[in-house]
Amino acid sequence: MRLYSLFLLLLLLLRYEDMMLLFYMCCSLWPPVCLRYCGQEDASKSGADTAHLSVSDISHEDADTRTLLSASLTDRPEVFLRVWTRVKAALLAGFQMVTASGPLMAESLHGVGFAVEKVELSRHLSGMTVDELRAMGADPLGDSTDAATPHESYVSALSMGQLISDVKDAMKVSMLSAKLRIVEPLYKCSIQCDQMQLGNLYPVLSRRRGEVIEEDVIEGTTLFILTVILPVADSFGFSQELLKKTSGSGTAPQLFFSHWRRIDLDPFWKPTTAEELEDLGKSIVEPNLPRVFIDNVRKRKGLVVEEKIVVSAEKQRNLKTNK
Amino acid sequence: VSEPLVPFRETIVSTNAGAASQCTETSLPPPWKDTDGLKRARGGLFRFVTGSRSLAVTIRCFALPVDMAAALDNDTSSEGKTLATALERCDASAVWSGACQSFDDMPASDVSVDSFRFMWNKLMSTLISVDDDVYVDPCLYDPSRTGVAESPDRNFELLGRIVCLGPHGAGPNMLVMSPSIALDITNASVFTLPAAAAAAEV
Repeated sequence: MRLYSLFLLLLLLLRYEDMMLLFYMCCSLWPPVCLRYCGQEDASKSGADTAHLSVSDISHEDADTRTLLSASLTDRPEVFLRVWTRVKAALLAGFQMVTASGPLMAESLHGVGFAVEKVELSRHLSGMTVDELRAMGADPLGDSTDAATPHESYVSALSMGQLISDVKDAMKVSMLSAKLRIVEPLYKCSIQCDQMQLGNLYPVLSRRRGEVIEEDVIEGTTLFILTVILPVADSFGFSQELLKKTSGSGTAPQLFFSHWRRIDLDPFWKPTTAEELEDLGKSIVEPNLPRVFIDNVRKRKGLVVEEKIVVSAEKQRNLKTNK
Repeated sequence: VSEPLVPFRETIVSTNAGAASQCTETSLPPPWKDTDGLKRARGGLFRFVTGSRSLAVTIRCFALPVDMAAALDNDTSSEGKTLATALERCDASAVWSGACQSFDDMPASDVSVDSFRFMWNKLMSTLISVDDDVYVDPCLYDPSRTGVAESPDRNFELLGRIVCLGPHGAGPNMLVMSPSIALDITNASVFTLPAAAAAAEV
């Protein structure tokens, strides 16, 4: 009796979060419920590397769903296979949609992989027989899909349209929670320039983020041949400027597409450390290069852009030129 | 005259890559901040539940190594295209992942088995023999996973898990099955996948 009351007291003291923790500790003892991810099995070996994928990190679901959705239920493969056929089709379609138009600025993706880590069925769905599944139209393997639907609410769960948009949104959210970058196309070109004008040529290149990857002198002349990698975004008006700045000595180059390169700057960077805050201030930060690109593309496509139209409302007045 | 259009692309960097990331906790600015469910996503991992709560799928995004993305990009190479056609042709025959488990599954195509095998080995070499500073996601190739490094068909383990490439069926992005989920399914008796016998010969 004494022990029992002590136990009750303990239960009262436990907060909701602790309860959930207990729940998950119990769950992890049962293999099918245990969440496993790529590399998760080796979490003990690789240590901190995979720590961000721990079980507690993703268990942010309300209690309702948590009890509903049990294991991946590989003990009922015949049901799983039938539902899976449908889920796979949705995954394929959603994946194609996301890769064609990403979350940053609705441009296509480059070098992103998506892994399907886990598929869970609710107890209800997994408890159904194959006939019941067929009746609710979730059986593409079956011969006919009759309209008889005894489980109305579950039909919507497997309706293709909803699944596809769920998958698409999920993929976008998962990308947003990772570190986003943009990738830009690069041109390659070779420029011939006289030795005398080389000093005028380099500022033109560096202003346009150009990179000289090869520099050769033509034997017996004072001509240099440069092979340059130039970002497409900064290449407009390049040949005019080149000719002007080098007094016509640099040849107007032919630009070829070379490759794609990631811009290793966080488009969402904000000053956070004390030092950075002191240097740059809290609010006014010049948007960095990738952010400028993103905002331009979003503006062009008519997507929402965070932009201050009126910076300081108090100070507005009619500006006269003849003061 | 409107401004010239530049086709940018979007990507992510791996959190483990140690790439030049100036701050660890990036809080997203407004247009992205209000995305539904963003609070529940961590480091590219997100689990969504359908409206009727009868189905939940956990999806994780990861960065492909730069070399692999370049190889798959069909603008600059034919490898992506070859793989895409192979996957497409296999789709009808394979039950589970949509990819060919053995080369015998591959219906007659303009791609010969030998050239496909060569292409695939070349593609995998971007994963297996990389420098230490290139981070390869354990989902693509993980030598520490039991038996993968020693296995003769280690190069073809991934092939069985690729579902498709994108966008539009051929491109530098990849949808794969996690090795753990594939393991669960292959253990179930219904999914008797043809053994990767042809793969083992290599």
